[in-house]
Amino acid sequence: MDYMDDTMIGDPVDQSSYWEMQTEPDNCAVVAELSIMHQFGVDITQDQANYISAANGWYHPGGGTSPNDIGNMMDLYSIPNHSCHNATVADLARELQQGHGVIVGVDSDQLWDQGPLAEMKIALLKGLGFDTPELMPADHAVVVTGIDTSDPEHPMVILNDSGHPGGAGVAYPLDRFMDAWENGHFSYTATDNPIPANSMEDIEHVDFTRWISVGAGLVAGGAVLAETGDIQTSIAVGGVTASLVENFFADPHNIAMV
Amino acid sequence: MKELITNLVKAADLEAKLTGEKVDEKLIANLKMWGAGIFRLVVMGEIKKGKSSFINAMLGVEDLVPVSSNVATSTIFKIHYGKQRGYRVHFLASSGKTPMDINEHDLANFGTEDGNPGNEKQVDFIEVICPAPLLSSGIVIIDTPGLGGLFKEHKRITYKYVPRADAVFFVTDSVESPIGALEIEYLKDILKITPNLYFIQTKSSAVDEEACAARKKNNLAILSRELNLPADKVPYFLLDARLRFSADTRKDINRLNRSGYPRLMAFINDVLQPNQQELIAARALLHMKPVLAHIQEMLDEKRKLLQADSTEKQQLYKQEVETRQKEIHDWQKDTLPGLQRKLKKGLQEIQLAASEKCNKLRPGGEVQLEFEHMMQNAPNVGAIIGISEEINTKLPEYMTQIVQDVAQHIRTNASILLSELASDSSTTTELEKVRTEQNIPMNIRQLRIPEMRSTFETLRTTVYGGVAGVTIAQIAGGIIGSVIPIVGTIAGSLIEGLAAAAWGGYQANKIQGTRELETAKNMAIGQLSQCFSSIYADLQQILQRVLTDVQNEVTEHIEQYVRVRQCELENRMKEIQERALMGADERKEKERKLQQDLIAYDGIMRGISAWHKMFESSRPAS
Repeated sequence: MDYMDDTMIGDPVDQSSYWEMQTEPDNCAVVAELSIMHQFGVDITQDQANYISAANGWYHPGGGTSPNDIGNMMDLYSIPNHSCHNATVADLARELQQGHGVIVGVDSDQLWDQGPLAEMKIALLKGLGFDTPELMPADHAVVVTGIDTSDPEHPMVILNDSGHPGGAGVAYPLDRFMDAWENGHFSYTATDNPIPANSMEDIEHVDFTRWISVGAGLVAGGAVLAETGDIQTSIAVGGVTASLVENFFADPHNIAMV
Repeated sequence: MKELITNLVKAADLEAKLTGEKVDEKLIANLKMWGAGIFRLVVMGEIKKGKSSFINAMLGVEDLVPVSSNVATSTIFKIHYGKQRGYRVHFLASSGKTPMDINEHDLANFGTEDGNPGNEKQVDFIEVICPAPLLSSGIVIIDTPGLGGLFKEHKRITYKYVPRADAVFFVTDSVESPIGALEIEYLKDILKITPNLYFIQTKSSAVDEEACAARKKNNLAILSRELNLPADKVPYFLLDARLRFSADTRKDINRLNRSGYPRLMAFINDVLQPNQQELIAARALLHMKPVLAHIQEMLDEKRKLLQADSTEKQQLYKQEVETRQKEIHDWQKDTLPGLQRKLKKGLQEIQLAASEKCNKLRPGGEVQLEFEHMMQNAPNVGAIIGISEEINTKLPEYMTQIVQDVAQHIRTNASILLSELASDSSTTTELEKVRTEQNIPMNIRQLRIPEMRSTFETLRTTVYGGVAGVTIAQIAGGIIGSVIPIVGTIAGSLIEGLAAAAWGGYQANKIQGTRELETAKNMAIGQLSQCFSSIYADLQQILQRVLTDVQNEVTEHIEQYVRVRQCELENRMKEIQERALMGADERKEKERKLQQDLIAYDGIMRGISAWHKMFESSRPAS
């Protein structure tokens, strides 16, 4: 598919066809990973994915999935991935521009529009200083599929959200998304490689600074756009753990030390 | 954790780049080992309780380690991660055989009593490589032979591994009798060595739910009564391996839950491993704090020099460097010799105290007398042979316990000594708390990691020794962490091997060939006496070696530290001269490179910030 619009970062249209509704109230992270895995050609059902994740102690039926375990199932299917904390929307944009599959954790109460009473409750909690990751932690995993910058004053984040029926390619204002993402420590997990049908090589580079400092209430820290996610480190790290163990035991003396 | 280690490796590379020195290979090796996150999970229990089935089910591979209806595992299986499943037999050093790759069909021939009776094939352990995700984070599972039964050798093998365990899973079952007297005896021994003990009750679906729950309740009551383990706080898991594999076949998540394994996996992933990772992270950060501070200092110096854009500023800077050079020189001449004398004296005192702890093992000591008394009371030659076998089992156990005690003593007191040597600076540590804590891993969380001011700032206001002193204490953590466990492991296994060779080498048939009871007793007691002399002498040598190693490493580190500092200051002087002649273009280029290094350093510090915050927030309130 040729992608010619330089105001859309990512390919939400293509990715929306991989959206599916979660079958359990707490397996959002499994479904988020699964949707990316499907795009890499892994052909398993949601039930099978639930089982595999539960059997390995990542998904706890009735309890959800720890953010630290997101990406483990992709590892199992040899889809290398990395995680970043305290990331910025520029980091997300960079990942999407490279065609990577991206999963974030958000506070669903702040993301979803659940009516005026719910909005009042959120505003009250914020006013009382309760809107912190510790008191209102992220409770929902979604796939970030795009960032729409066609209106620089009101950028929109496009998600595949398995948590509600209209969740395929659903758009949220950037500031609303950031509010919800903040409760997940601005963390994300992204694939190291582009989704095969989704390579972005032909897209012109988008200038992130233009819209980051406008509307989103964020400051890019002067001339240097802080690479808070430090993607290269994260990519290096993501592939490293199992190979660290393998390398350790490649030295025959080390097994005797254990 | 992986992000932490990767960033620390980057820090080591950056320091090497800034100093122009080679990367410290030992540091990198340590970082790699910590990064591998090796976590030793030892599985113990009486024979035929389902230990091997439990392990196979935990890893999701039904036939990974052998299970049979007869007495099964007779050797240690060490199971770790690898991309391809495989098996390698490692033989005892005395056999002269090199490790041998085998396939799973040959396992029973090397790893069971049926296939390898009396360990005639001289197997030390079998390495099992398994691509299970649980193992990819560094967990190594150690499957042990069953305790009790007909094979006392199994108990000896098992006790060799308990001291090194990060967690011990003690396995009992739902079918036979509840935890019995013999198991309680084992558990008491285990608790003397490690508090990291967890309980598994296997075969939970072999009986009905009520019977299973009743067995659990009964076991917890026994543990509470006999071992003072509070029933509501003991990690205890009901598991069924058959259900687990049946769930796998059907991909039935409900069946999987009933097998109990998801709850266990969650405990390992969310409790055990993070605790272990914190310990490793604390150790790694402690090691790397001087490196990070050094990088910060060097970058500050470079920036300051580039900003010295007038002759006056350059002159001032030059004077500061000359002052520092003098301070280092004076410290080396006046303070360092005294510090080294105190170190040597302190280590000698530690060695004396450690030797006293070994008194039980001295020739003519308590343990030898106990064994001699047993020999003297033997009614016949056959009884002497039986007593010999008992000594074969008990002697290594005594030694392991004593050596562990000694290792703990050395570790604790050497850390205190080194922190006291550093205490003439204002940056004291709180290692005194170590006096009252038994468990070093918990102590790490109590440590207040000293504030590291930049060397430059410190030199202007305090004696140079203060900063070097802080470095000593931090080096101590690294040295003790790397050296002292050797006392418990290498020394423990060496001594145990000595005990077996020195005593076990005295073949029973020598006694059998003797008709006279008194002659047999005298032979046995004489051999015992030689055995203890040899073991005690070797133990003293090992103690001496360990403490000499500590002294040498600390001295070498201090001398290297001073050398590096002196070299850096000489380089500063050269840079000041170059600065005076520097053109605008050259200055811009240097600023650009400095900016790159600053960004790299900033990235590293952000990468490890979460861990820093964790340890900062776990500081005790002062």
